[in-house]
Amino acid sequence: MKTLLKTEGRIGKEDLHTHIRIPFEIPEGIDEITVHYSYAPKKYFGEDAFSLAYAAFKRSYPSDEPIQKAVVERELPLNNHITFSLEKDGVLLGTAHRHSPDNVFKIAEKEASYGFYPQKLTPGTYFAVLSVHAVLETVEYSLEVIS
Amino acid sequence: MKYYPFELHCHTCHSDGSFTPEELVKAAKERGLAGIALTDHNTASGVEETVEYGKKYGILVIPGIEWTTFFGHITVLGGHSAVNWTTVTAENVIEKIKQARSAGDVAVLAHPYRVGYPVCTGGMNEFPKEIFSVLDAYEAISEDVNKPTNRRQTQEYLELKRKGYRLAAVYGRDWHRNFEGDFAVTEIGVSGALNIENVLNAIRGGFTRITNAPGGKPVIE
Repeated sequence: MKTLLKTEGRIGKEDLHTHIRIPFEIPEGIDEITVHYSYAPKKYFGEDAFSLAYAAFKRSYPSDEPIQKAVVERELPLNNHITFSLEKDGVLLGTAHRHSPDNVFKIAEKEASYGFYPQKLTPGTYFAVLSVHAVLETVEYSLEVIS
Repeated sequence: MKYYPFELHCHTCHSDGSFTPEELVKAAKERGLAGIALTDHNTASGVEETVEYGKKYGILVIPGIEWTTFFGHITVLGGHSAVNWTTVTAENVIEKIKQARSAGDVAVLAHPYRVGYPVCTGGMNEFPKEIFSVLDAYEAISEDVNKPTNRRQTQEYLELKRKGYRLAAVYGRDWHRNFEGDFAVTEIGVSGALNIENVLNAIRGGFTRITNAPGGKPVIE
């Protein structure tokens, strides 16, 4: 087993709607990689959660449509949502659009986890791409790629 | 020309759907559909397997993907283009759609008035208005037909048509799993054999109608 990338970091509100690209090298002779990716917290329990959700309903609903409190509350708690993709030379090798904050992905020539394309792992610089779909407070992430 | 019932917005476990590819195809068969488009979020990794199950169960599977961007969601149907969704921004979306269409794909604006951030990131369309000039189709109704947001979608679609935009009306169930509700279908008027390219051509030509069930009553033509 060889560690190709091991990093931790923080993602804050200032990173909302950005893609964070973290480079790592895959050397010759690697047949399979395993990615361990997690972040926390997933759920957002801030006092403004209801008003944030209500404002989103207000933007989408017809102006004459009443917005029921219970309908908004069904969307609570809100979620932080940061997806993982793998990229090389500007080409995406797959995206895991999952809602779970704890993930393990495997990528190899013949088989790959859902969302990724099975592929030969040619040597070179790869990028772990963290796409910040939603971040309502500071989130800590952990990322490890092993072969 | 013959009209065939389709579901053009479907997800599997390759993104955040509950269906396996086989379960999705079987559900489409049970629903009485002639075909589906597989539009997993930001990946087409399930296409090959779903196409194979489509052949097994007699469902035409159109390869596709849903660009699930921060500013709006666009289903891209055909499987011809390979746009890196992480490069799609509000500023360059028109160029990216043109790129996908020139490769042979069809672009559909998904659930334009879905409740957006932070409930569903990018769920509500926030792309510039110029997008309507380069799209092939617009989800005039999405998910459960009784959702209040569908009133805004249908109204905007009809306004765009009045203004002369060439947009086909389609329905998008955004089918992740089965649950109770009122769902419609898109019926597509296909000339010639029922195959992927003829379906894409029919959408480009605007030969679509939304009905309340396969072979049912038209809601939008």
